[in-house]
Amino acid sequence: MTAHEIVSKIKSKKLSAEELISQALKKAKIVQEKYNAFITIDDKAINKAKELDTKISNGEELGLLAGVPVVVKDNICSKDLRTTAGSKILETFIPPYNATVVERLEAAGAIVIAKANMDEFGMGSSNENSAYGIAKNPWDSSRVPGGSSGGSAIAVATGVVPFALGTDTGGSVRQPASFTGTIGFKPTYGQLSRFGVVAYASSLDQVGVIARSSQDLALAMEAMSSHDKNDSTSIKNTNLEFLKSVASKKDLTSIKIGLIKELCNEGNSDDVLGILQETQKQLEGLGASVETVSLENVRYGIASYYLVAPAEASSNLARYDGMIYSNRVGENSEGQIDIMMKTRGELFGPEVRKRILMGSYALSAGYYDAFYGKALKVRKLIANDFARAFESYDFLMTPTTPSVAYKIGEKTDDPLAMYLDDIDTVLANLVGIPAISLPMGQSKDNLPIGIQFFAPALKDETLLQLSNIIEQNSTNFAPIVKI
Amino acid sequence: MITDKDMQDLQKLARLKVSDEESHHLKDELNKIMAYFEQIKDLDTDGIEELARPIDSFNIFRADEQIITYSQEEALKIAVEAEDGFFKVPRTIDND
Repeated sequence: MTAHEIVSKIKSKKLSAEELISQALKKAKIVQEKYNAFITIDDKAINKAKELDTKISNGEELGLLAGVPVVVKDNICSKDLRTTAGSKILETFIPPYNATVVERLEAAGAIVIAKANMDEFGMGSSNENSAYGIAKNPWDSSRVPGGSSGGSAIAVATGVVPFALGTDTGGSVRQPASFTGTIGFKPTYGQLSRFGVVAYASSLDQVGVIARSSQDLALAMEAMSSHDKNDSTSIKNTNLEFLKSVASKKDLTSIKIGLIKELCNEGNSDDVLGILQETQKQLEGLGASVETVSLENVRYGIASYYLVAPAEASSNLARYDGMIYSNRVGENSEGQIDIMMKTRGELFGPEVRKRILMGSYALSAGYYDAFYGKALKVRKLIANDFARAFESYDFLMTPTTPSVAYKIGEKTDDPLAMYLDDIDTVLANLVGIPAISLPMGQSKDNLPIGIQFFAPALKDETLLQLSNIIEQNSTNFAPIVKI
Repeated sequence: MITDKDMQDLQKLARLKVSDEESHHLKDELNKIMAYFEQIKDLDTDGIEELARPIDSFNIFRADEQIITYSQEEALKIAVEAEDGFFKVPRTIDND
């Protein structure tokens, strides 16, 4: 069922929230058994469902998402529900407050049933860097689901929930969506509040949504996006009306789309290039014009991103030192510094340790200008390229990833190989613009392939409209994977 | 090139101890990754400003009024160690 259908059935009393949430929890447990999609499943969700049922029988007014079960990535704080960020260092952390996005979903009547598995602190593209075990792709369980929001993508692809929250620092919502045949949406930087979201790289982090239906995506965005006084980067007064606008257009007449030349070449697998061509034809069939456009600096995106993100991470993750909160390793008599070094060395996983040291290096005296400072200038060059292209095009497009979901363990030995796969997605984060991955087809081996669209900053609604038009003109768009 | 000595310094800087074996392995990985980053060194960025964040940041002000967030008890629930209403941490300054 879509979120729209659930809300309608709950409101018309055809289904009780208790019944619905109990089914969702049951399915979550089956999915957990097979794919390790969750870090915590919350059986207490059933109590919230009962409370909602009482509200319904009392005739109280119900919110936009009444009774909708949702899954939230485990780096987004949930009050009284453990939030680990996929790390041992936060294994016992129970937040005393909700992230604003969770607060707003719950205020609208949604019920959080589970916290999703993820790469530790969002650092990874395969969900292999979770301290709580590797998650598996429901299309082929020998393959990765993508990451870092791997668990959220699995929950949506298998139909446990109609939509789930992820976070996207360099593609962590769009890439797992691409690998699982779902829609992955990263809004404009600042469109969704980051208050209560475990920080990885603050100038790149953004909460995103994974869904199977464009209209459900609009519903989720409608419930969550408005200014938050608790987040100094939250956009003021954008007045976007996602629900009103999502289905307001029927075709793509007079829409101009630019295919980014540098990212649509032989660096992609044949399967991906095939789907890219089919997508182009479909878009033209719907009235759009599609042309190739050159953005010459996008080739430096990975270098810029993997200097900026670890640098910010090395600073953000300094708070996990075993002193105030998180866990502590060692005896107090060893002294503060030794305990910090031991705690961080033992409780952070290998990829996190690597990125913290890498970021510390990029920021250290003598290297700042050559690396971090230079990376920020390259970031500006890339932003300029996009600004120039958006003077002529409504959307820009690329594959979401150069290939389909790969085998578990296939890329763990080569530190650069996995980073390079993020070439298409990191650009939206560097520039701060919205981007969406749409499930446009499958490979010869029946694995899903996503195509990514970028829009100018604050044009989030247009990406949802585009998604809806394509969805309405497709068959078997974002299907539920049978388990 | 990052050396083994650099790795030791970085660990102190980041307050993060890794084993000697891992340190050696990480040094090789980081050198490989940093070599890839070298490509941006030759890029002409004269006169280009640094883009540290995608939107302008601004200060948020509010009236200096007391608001209730959590009780001390609630806040200390997340503490690694707490005593008499305080966070308790290992000794920071030695007696001698």
